[in-house]
Amino acid sequence: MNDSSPVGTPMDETVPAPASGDQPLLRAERLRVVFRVGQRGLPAVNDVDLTVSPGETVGLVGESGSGKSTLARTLIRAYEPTSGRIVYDGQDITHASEGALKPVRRSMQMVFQDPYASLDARMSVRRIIAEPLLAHRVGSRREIRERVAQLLEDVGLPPDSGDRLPAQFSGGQRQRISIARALALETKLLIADEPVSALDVSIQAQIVNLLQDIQRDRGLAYLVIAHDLALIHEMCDRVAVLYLGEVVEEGPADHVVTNPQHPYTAALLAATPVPNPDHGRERIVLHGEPPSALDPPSGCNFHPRCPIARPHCAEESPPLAELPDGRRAACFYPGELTAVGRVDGRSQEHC
Amino acid sequence: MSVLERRRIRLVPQGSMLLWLGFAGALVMVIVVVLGPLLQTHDPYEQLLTNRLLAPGEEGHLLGTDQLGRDLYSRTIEGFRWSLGIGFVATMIAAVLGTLVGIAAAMREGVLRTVLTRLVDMTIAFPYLVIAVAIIAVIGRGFFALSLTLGLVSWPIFARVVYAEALGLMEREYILAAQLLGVGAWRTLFTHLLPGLRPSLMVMWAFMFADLLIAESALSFLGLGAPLAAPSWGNMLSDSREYLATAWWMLLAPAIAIVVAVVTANLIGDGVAAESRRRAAQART
Repeated sequence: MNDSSPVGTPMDETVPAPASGDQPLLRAERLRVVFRVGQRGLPAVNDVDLTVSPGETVGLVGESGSGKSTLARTLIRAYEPTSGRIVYDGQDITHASEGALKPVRRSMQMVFQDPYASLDARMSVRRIIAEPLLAHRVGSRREIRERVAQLLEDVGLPPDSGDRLPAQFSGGQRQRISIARALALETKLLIADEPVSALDVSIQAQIVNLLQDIQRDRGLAYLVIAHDLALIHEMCDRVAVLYLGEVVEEGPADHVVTNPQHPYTAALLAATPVPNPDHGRERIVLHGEPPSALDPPSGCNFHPRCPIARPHCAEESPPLAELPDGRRAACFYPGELTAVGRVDGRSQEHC
Repeated sequence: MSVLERRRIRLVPQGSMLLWLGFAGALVMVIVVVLGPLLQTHDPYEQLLTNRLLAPGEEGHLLGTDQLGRDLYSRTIEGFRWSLGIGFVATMIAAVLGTLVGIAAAMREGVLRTVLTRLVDMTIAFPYLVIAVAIIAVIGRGFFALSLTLGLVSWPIFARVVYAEALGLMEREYILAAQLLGVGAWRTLFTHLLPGLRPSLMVMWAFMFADLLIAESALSFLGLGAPLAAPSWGNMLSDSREYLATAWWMLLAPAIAIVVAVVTANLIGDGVAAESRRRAAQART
């Protein structure tokens, strides 16, 4: 990205504060994560700015390999960023040691995609949920027991679940166990990495409702990672769309999902199934595979697959520029390609 | 009653039957080790040259006598203490050392991992007889010298398996989840890693024990094992070599004892392996 762009304003260093005016709970600035692949560097996350305010739900969307999981895992410091800054609750945790992170780990939690792999099959549910309490030496044995019982109730599991093993539960119930574990301490921010995509469709809505109920009761901030725009629309206040490790569009979820300005977001939306195929959206078929981050295309990352690419797009990379409605999009021709213009009346009233 | 129904009647599955047989054998061996002297009819060390090379049953010697007139039955019983004891202590040394090195290498990337894995490679490449000669030259022949020798030549096998397995476990998402919850490395080691390694450790322990029993015999046979007069099974086999044509019974008792002990250890190893596979399959559903 560079500053000499024909359209829009250059990207601000700081991200605009959310409507509430609160200090953001989590702020990432120009975050870069580069993995070493042999002699070369693979930039999985590239110059990403992101904020999550207290009580807010932010979504990260993108296809596989877009860097959304890497970004989330870097924010919770499973990985160390190559450059940039992560500030959580006023504390710079960019390069904090595991020891310095310990207090952070009390209030920033994660729920994983796979409810099978993320729970130790040998441990009883009680021990799984008590694990964070024991690790942080919170409460006596009896208090921990009572806390676990309360958490089981909070996530809607039967009271006798504590003595059983994860193998005795369904995927949805295991995700409830995982959520209970993430709520055991004084959680402020919950990062949910594809929390429902491994579950049966009939169970997905229950888990989404549970997450929403918990957020309402406890005022948590969520960072939800998904590839499903409908889920993002349902859950999130704001959304950031990632493509090849870069944010290509970012703004209020309602605006981005119903009226995408970036052609990649439009293509994602066009790929989302609609209840009535007769009143479907226009099809936007992207050609080819996403390019490799090891060997990114010239200019705009998206131009080789973009239906509206011009010669200019191959030469210069568009900045993430603010549009009149407050959202930001990294495209020289925002709004030109839209997936909803034709028939979907409900979406149009939002624009 | 159909064939299918008849199959269901079996109380325990075949695999566990063999495991129980192994446990029963182990129990008997432990009893023999503990009761040792009470089961012996003669002093296993007492020499009586007038009674040398008696055939089984002669003069009250149940399994006969050896070239120095010592009672073979009592020596074989005493041999349980020597051979199984050496095997046990040696396997313990190998298991503890190997597990420590394997886990340390798996949990700590960087210089420590490189040093430890190279150390394991070097030890495996080193001829174990040289280590045996070196240790015996320094501390002499004896129970602990032999245990230490066997332990020091076999720990790298534990280290390699534990390292590979622990490395795989460290990649599991529940270990990452624990880290992100603020669970420290030590706690992760004791609550996730060691319980995850337990089935492999038990299986390896049983097979290693069987291997080291045979290695004990081999070293004693070469004169690098237990002290000369000690009734270890390896020593007894070594003694029998010269009298095979005239006193075949000298070979029989220690050979059978070794085979029974090795088979017992293998039954337990196989049984535990099958059981842990069955449990893993159950946990997956």
